[in-house]
Amino acid sequence: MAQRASEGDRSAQRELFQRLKTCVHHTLFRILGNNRDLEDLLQDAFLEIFRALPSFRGDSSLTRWSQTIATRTAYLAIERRKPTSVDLEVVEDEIVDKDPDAHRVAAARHAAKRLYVALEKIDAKMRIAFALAVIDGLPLAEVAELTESSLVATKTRVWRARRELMSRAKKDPVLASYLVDLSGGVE
Amino acid sequence: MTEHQRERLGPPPVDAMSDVAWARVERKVFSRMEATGGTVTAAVGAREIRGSAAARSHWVWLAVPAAAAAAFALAFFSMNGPSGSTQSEEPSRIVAGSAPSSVTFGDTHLTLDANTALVMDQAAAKPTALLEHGSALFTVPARGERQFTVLAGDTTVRTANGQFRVSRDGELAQVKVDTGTVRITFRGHDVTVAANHSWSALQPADVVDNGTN
Repeated sequence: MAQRASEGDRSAQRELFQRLKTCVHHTLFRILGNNRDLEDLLQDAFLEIFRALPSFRGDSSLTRWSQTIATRTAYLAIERRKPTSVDLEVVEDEIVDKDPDAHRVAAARHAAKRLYVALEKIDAKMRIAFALAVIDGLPLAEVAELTESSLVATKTRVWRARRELMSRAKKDPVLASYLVDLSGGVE
Repeated sequence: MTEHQRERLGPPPVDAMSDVAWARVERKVFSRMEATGGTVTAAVGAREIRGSAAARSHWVWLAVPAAAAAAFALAFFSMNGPSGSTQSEEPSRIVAGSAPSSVTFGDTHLTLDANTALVMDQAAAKPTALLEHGSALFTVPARGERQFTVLAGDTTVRTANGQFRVSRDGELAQVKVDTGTVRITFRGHDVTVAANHSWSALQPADVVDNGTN
């Protein structure tokens, strides 16, 4: 299918789009934290996927390869957009679901919004490495692959991001607690 | 901190995008590919994440096609996008399984053949049905300037009054008009199909009289 899509077969391209859309969206969402502006970035990512398809050699899975492109798309988006200030009071969620797990999810969303606001203020490469490794829970080797970086550089970025976030969290107990939570309870 | 926050929270869930949002993304991706003659102009570029001045200068080369694509998208959605309409219904996805299914949206009646799926977006000034696959009969009463739109892959069918059937199998769309008139656009082709005539994406420039079939 990838071969046919790379040769311009529109049906194969549509099929590929359907097959890859969830993983591409997942990667962009984890790095950026919400669906705002994601439609434009998804377009950019898929255009690049189709453009680069002839060069896909099958060294990694098509899914992983497309996630690498999504990561690169997110990086460029972060680099080109100005930091925005988000009013945390505006983005609060109401917990309306009676499902006990809904409270946990709502609390996670609440804390994650604070985390993504803090992430806006740190270096894009550190932010991406942290988002993929700590928020999404990917192994560092996979993060290194997705960010087209060495394992050492990836480890360093995650460590620096965590240090910077912990520093920023000194005035924000919710964020501090969430950072510990995401690290599996390790302070 | 509440009891709930003391539990392990983990990452927040990934918020899914609506079918309509995905349809928009898909449509725009393939429109942009179509606009560049099938040769995709990269918006991202095959660069390493390290970035460089050369990478930034690449954007200059992308400015013209990107602006054209943006203008195209803007024009397209200014025709189909939300306006001052007071309708606020959420898009609905309708799936007909092994049996046909009928449904009414406002003044428009839809009959879905078996194994058909479509997404109906009434929030737009011009209500839009996205036919994912299968075949459906649309009955659109006279509605003045307010057109009803059916999207089937790269095929767009518009009418302000008529009964017509749209079938989609992958990229192949076919339209058969029973009453009224519909306008069809498909990859640069723009044809008007009157009552008792048909159109197929296989021969997008031709309109066939049903009586001659």
